[in-house]
Amino acid sequence: MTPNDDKISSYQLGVIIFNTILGIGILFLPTSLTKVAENDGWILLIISGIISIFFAYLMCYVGKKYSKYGLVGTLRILFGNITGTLLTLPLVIYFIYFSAIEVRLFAETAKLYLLPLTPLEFIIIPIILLTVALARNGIETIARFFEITMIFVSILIFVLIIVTIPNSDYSNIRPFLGTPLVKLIKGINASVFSYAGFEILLVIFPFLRTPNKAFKSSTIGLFLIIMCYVIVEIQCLAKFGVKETQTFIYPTISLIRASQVPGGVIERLEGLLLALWVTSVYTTIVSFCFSISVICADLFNQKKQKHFVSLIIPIIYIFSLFGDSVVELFDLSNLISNTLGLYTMGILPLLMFIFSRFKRDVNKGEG
Amino acid sequence: MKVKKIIILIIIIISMFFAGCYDRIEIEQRAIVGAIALDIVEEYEETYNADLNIVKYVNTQSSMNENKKGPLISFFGLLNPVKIQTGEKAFTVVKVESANLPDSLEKLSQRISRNPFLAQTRMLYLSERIIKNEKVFKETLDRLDKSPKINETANVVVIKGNINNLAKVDPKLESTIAAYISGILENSKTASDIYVLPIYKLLAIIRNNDGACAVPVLEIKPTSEGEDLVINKLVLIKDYKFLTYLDTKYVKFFKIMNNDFKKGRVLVNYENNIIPYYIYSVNKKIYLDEDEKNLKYKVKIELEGDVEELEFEKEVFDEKVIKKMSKTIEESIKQEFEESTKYFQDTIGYDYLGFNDYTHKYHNKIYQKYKDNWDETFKKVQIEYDVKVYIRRIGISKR
Repeated sequence: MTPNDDKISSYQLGVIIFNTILGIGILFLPTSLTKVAENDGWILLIISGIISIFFAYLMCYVGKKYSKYGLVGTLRILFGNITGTLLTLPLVIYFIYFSAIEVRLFAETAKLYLLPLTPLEFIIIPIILLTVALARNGIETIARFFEITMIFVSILIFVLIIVTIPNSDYSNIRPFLGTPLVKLIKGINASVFSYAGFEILLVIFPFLRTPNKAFKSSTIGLFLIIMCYVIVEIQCLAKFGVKETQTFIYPTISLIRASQVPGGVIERLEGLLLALWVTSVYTTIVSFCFSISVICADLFNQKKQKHFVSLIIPIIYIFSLFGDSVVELFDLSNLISNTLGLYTMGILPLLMFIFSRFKRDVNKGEG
Repeated sequence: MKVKKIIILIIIIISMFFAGCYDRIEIEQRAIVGAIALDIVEEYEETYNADLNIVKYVNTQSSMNENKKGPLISFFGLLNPVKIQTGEKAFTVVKVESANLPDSLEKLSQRISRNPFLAQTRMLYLSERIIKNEKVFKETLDRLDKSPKINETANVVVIKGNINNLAKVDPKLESTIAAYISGILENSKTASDIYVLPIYKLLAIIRNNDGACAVPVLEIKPTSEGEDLVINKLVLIKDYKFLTYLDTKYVKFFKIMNNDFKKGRVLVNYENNIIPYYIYSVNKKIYLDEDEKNLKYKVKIELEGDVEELEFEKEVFDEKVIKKMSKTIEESIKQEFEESTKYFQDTIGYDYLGFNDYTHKYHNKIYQKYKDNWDETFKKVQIEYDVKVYIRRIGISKR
């Protein structure tokens, strides 16, 4: 029997990682990849996936060691009280911005394809209000909800991939490695952020029943995501070719739009995709909101995180309205990824890892 | 605490209900557009690929952008779902003149009582004049590419003949012309000379090939009993401009070279009999050799199929006969291919056969040397065919 202690199993951690990463990004991904790496976008995805797994390892290494202290506690131990607290702030801003952009991009997409006459606010507000309902209830409820949605999302992805297979020309992924190596390395920057979401590993360790198994389950979660991304990228190339894929704004939706169910039983599958993709976006936002609330609770030495969920919701809503046009929104999203994202996913885990190696010796000396 | 929960719940429920209401539309309020036909007003000039003059459209009217007269003429085939069941003529055609496609939808709304709905569109007809006008053609492509509303799996055909006569065509077994024509295009799965091109594929091909594409042609011919139509030709487009029509005899070859051939029939002269060979599987492999500034391709094609008839009382149930027939079919197809290749290399002069694509994908290093001047290279390359024919079945009688 599962004990009711507000802790999650390692399987549930994998599910959380999968659901958090899988969000709105997959709808835009093939374009940016094809822009930098042409036919080799999928190779880029695999390379950056491995890089993500490496950083997940760093997070798990530190997390395992200081599993009961939480992120803020660990940072305070490693860097001292003031520096530790200051190092957390960019993280909070990043999480808030990330959720805001996620919800805004989803609303924009839904408005374009599904609800052209509905005001943007009416798409955004219900999603974030529902986020409050789940994120307040703690990690265990979230994990259970994610387990249920994962089944639906997996079936959805599977069906949609199957539907896109006919009339695809897989020779389009050739020539292999036709892109210059320098260009490919530069492109890693663009693709690594498509895995944004696994950084909740920084926060989640105090809630794990078995911190030792965290790396294994998060790797499985990441691996599934890499597979999904690679398949979507290859399907896009196979259906449209390089130059056409480069011009799309919503390549994955275009891919679904260009596919037909044999016999025409169901048409216009993009409506179905978007209607169900809501859950996928929702899970991402819930994860991030929960992470922010945990960090905030630790910062202010509060035992319960749930009040902070309600407090940050208005901020997310306001942030989500930044950016006038879709172009500006994408630029903003890139800017956040390249600065705060880089900090959260790369620099901070690396610093924590280095300092924790150093700290161990100090502990030993003390012991 | 409870009060708070109830308030939140009420807010959520209300906001959810409101979100749905904005886009609520009853099915009776929709005007389902089954087909769109696009044409240009007559005073518009034409641009051919032969001379590279860009169209100049002289707007003699004022500086107002709301141009009431063209350049685009759109015909919308609106469906009446109730009548489709009864088998009557279930469509009505509305003609509007507008500046562009979105404007034509706006003008359509001024003319009909319902809301235009493009998600179920089956056919898009482009007139000859559209593809002979680069500016309008590119504008149309752009709209097709950008619009989230148009059904991207709708098929595109170019109308050769008077587009006004399309509505006069008798849809034979169907109740709408769109269903009639998309039914003909569906036959491309079993017929060799019909080429089908959905919108998304048109956009992908034309973009990946920098403005080169082949589009199926629908020919409207006046007969004694009214207008009749046939789809068995292609129109070749180069640099977004009209190049030429491609005759029916080359369509099969074009489809095989572009991996679009599913099933279909070829006619072969065997001992002074024209016999049908029904191909149901094609396997194509290309090999490339490079020698002193010239490329040599070897195309290996394996065909599987049935011989459907020969001559009454003539023995076919004999291995020697089958072998002889295979040999004859091989020779005949090889000659056909060589002749077609010569036509593409010498007369048309542009690579519509996918050699460009093949070289890029499988011999990228070689391709990089020639890519800037591919059209010239293509005219000079040597292409050899090696055809292998398998006759699998001969019907149900031995003689």
